Amino acid sequence: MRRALLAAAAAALFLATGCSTEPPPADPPANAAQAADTVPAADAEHNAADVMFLQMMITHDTQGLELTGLAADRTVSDEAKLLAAAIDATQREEVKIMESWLTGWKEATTASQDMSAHASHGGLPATGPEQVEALRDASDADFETTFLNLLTGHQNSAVELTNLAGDGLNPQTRDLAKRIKESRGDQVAQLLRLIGGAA
Amino acid sequence: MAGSAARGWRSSYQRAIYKTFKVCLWSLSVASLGMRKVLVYPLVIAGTAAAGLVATGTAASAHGYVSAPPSRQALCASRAVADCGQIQFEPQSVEGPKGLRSCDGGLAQFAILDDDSRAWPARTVGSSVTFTWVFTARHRTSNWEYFVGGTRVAVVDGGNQQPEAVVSHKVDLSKFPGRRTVLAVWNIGDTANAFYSCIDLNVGGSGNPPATTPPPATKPATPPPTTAAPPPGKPSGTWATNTAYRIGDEVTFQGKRYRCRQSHTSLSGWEPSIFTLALWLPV
Repeated sequence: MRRALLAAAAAALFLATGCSTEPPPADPPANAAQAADTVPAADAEHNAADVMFLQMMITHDTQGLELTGLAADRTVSDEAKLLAAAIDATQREEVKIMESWLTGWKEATTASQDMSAHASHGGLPATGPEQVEALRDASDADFETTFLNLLTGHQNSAVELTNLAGDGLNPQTRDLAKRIKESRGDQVAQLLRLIGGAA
Repeated sequence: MAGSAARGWRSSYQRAIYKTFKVCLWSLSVASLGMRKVLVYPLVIAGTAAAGLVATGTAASAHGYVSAPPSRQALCASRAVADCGQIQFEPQSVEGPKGLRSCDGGLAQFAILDDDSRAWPARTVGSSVTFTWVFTARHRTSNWEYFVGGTRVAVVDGGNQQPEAVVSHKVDLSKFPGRRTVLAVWNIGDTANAFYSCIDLNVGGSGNPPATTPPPATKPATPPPTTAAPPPGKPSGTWATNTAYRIGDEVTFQGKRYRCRQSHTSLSGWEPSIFTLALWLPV
C-alpha cells in the first residue's frame, strides 16, 4: 500500500515537474500529527549510480548503527552519548528514506554482495564485524576511545561514499548525498574534538 | 596520454568509482557491482595507472591518520584550524610514496600541512606520548614509524596484518623536550605507499609552557591562523549550527517552526527538514 502510494506520489511529482532538479519541498505536512512518519518522495527518474549509492549508503549507515547501538549502554561522556544518540536517530531515518526510494523504484535495498566478504583484501572501509566485535569486547576504560575512533573513521568514509552520487540522475538522491556529506563532515569535527579534548 | 588511455573506462559507473575511491577500496566497489566485477576491476586499475596517480600500478587500499594527539589534518577536520582547503574533508588521504619526510605526503593539494608558518597549535604532553590512529580502510601494514626532525624515534612492526580496530602506540620522547613536530608514518604492507601525519607537541611541558612554546610571530597582514570552534551557543529563535538543542526547544528555520525531539549539537546537514524528522518535528 505504502509502496503504491510512494510510486504514485513519485509519478505525480515527476509528471507535475517534468525534468525538475529541485529537491522536494521541506515544508511540514499539513497534518503535523502524522509528520513523524513522513518520508520524502523521490522522482521516478534515476540511474544505476543512484541505486548503487543508496544501496551502499544503507549498508554503511547500518554498520554505523551497530557502533552507536553499543554506545547506548556503555560508560561514555555525556557529550559522546548525546552525539551517538543523535547519529543513531538520524541514520535510522535515512535508512528508512533510502529504502523507500529503492523500493519505489523496484530495486533491491541492499548491495548484491556482502561487502564484508572483501575485508581481507583491505577493501572494506572502516567498519566490519571484527571492529564491532572489538568495540563490544572493549573494557570500560578503553570503550570511549575505541568508539570515538571507530566512528570517526566510519563517518570519514561516508564522506567518500557520497561522491558516488555525483553521477546519479535523481535530484532527491543528490540532495540527500549533499546532506550526508555535510553532516558526516561536521560529525567528524565533533568526534575529533571529543577525541582530542581541549586544545 | 592519460586521456586516450582513460577513454575506455569512462562509463559513468567507472568514473564514479574512480573519483570516489581511486585505487583504494576497489574491492568494495567491485562487491557492490556484482555482475560487473570482471569488467570493472582491471579498468579501474588501468585508468588509475593512466592518470599517473600510482607509479606501481598496484592497488593501494588504505586510509588513515593520527587522531590523538591531534595531527595537523585532524586539526583541520575538527575546524580547530581554519581555511585548510580540501584536507578538512579527507584527513585520511595524505598518501604518498614511502620514504618521504614531509607532512603533506608530497601532495600539492595538501601543502598546507607542511606549512610551518600556519603556527599549528602544539599539544602539551608528557615525555611519553600515546599516538592513536583512525582508519577508513584497513590494509596490511608493514610498520609504523615516528620521526622527530631527521631522527627515527620509534618503529612498530605491523606484521603485514590488517590493523586492529584502534591502533595506539606509546612513544618515548624524553630526549626531545620542548616544541616539536612529530612525523608519524603508516607504511602499507603490499603497496609502495605510506600515509603521513604530523603532530605538533610541547614535550615535557607543564602547566607553564617553556619560553620556546609560543608560535613564531605571525605577519600582521595575515588573518589569525587558528580559530577555535565556537562554544555551543544558547538556543535561540532561529536554527543555527553548533548549538546545543534539547528536547522541547523550538526554532524557526526557513519560515517554519520546529520542535526538537532528540537532544543534539546542531551541524550542517542536520537542518530541520523532512530528512531530519528524527531530530525536529514541525510544530
